[in-house]
Amino acid sequence: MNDDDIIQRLRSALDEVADAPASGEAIVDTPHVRESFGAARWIAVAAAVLLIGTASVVLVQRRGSDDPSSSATTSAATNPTTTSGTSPTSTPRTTVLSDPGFSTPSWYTFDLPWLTAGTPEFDHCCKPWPAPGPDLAMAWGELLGIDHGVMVLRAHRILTGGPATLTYSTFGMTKAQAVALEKQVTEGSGLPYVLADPSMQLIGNGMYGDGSLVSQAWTNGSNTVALSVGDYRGQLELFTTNAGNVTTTTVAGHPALRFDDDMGSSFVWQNPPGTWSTLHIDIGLSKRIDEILGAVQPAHLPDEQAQPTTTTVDAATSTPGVAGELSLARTGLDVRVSTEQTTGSGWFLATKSVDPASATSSAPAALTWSQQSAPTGEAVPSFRVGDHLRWTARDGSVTAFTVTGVVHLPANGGDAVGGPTTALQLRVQEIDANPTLVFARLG
Amino acid sequence: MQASTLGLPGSLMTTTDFDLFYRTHRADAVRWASALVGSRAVGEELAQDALIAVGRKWKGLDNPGGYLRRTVVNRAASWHRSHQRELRRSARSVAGTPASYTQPTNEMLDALGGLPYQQRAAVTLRYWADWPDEQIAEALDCAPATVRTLLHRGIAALRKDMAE
Repeated sequence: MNDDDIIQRLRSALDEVADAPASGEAIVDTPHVRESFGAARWIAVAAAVLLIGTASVVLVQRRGSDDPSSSATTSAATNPTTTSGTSPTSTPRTTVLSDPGFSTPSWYTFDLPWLTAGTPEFDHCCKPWPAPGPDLAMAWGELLGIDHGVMVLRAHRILTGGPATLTYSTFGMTKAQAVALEKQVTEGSGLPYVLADPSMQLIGNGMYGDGSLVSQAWTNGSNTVALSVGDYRGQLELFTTNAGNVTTTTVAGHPALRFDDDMGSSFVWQNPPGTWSTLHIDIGLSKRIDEILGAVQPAHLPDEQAQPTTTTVDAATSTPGVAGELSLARTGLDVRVSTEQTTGSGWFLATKSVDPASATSSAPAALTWSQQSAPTGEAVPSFRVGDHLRWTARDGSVTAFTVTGVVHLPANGGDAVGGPTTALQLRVQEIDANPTLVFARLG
Repeated sequence: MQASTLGLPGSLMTTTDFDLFYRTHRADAVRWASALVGSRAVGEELAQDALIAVGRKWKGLDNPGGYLRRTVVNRAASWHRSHQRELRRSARSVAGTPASYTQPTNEMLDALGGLPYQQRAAVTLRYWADWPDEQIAEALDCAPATVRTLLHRGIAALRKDMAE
């Protein structure tokens, strides 16, 4: 092979990379389309799944005997947690999770004097999603535990009523194993899909961005520890679509998956009553992760006194924002973050994964936003996990996001032109592409 | 066109110019960064970060295009350093590697990924992005002669790797 051949192959290979779909679309690069899921059936199943997924999520519980009172320990990278000491039960236990009042007994707190607790927030199910509704989220885990293997199914709803697009992602298994499992997934009568493999069990079933969820944040003034407990709403996808950064650990006695990136560390584990916990620790607290995990303690669910009002905003009639802007719909917070350059408000929000000029219905499932304040001493608005943001693209289409992570970046000293800046990054999860309704949390 | 903040007082910034710059350079920046790190998703993030950096220094830049190129290349280098750490950490996990159906399996990309970053950057920018040696030298903060050495060694390494 001569140099010309090498260069030609180099060009071809790099063309493939550079012209690949945007991030988030990668997982649907090879969608597995099933043709037999029509619109009418979708709506029927959506209603059924809403009922199943939120008011009465039926989860096969493997770890009913787990002791949530044991303290958290993070396994060293060279000595990851195994579940050899926990024998999987062969008799699945069915748990019904009721939404009203958030009766789930699973909740946690931190006994760390340097962390100040924020107000718990209660996100009740079930939002009145417009047809065809949010994407369906299902997950199966190996009998030995999620730390041994997980397969996640995302059923992408089609606005036109066409067939759903199914995408799969996995953790802890080879591609061949994943493909073999995928072939065993069939449509179900009670549940939307069934995986008939004796080594796997259903561990999650719900909707992306929907279902009951309780969230609370703790802060040391500059960094945040955010916890949420609630129904399965696709929490595992973070761990199955980010190759290379996922390890296993134990949190509060539960096998957990851990994901690290430049925003911090995220953990997810399954609670005995069938709910899921997600913990995010800002990157600024990375040296104290072991201390924080060790302080995770089971607790009674806090009272819902401070429940914020969740209201529905009709995107067609609610304004804030000019086309091309992302608005934070929160009363009393005079903030407008924009994907473009704005006047006076002092905020700049840059998309990291979506071209502002073309962001429409193909927005990735997970985005990272970064935001910088003007050097005018403006305070960074208090984005919280669970906040809902919406994106209004230039063509008027709207995409709603839920904030799933907030990182306060340390202020820098400015540069030759600008003064000191503060910054934060938001991790958001797309609720639905192009919804006609968006949901705003009003403080 | 609205004035920009981008961390700067609006009066200090010719926002229309930057807006135009952003729109005309974003696609290239994403492609450069994607090629340098081997991932479109990461490339988009790096490119966006680089464009923000350009925006913050916009008023004081004589050659924003050159600054953007250099920033993209530098941020890609930083990403490679952190990515190597992540790979080492991931390799220590016995729980298995997360798998998606889109993991790259391109022989050339594997070979390219095995090159030291400076060689990879030089080869990518010269033979794929068609940057002249002087531009590459500016971005890599080295002499043009060094770029030619990097290119020679890089291509030789790729040829050897692909022959095996």
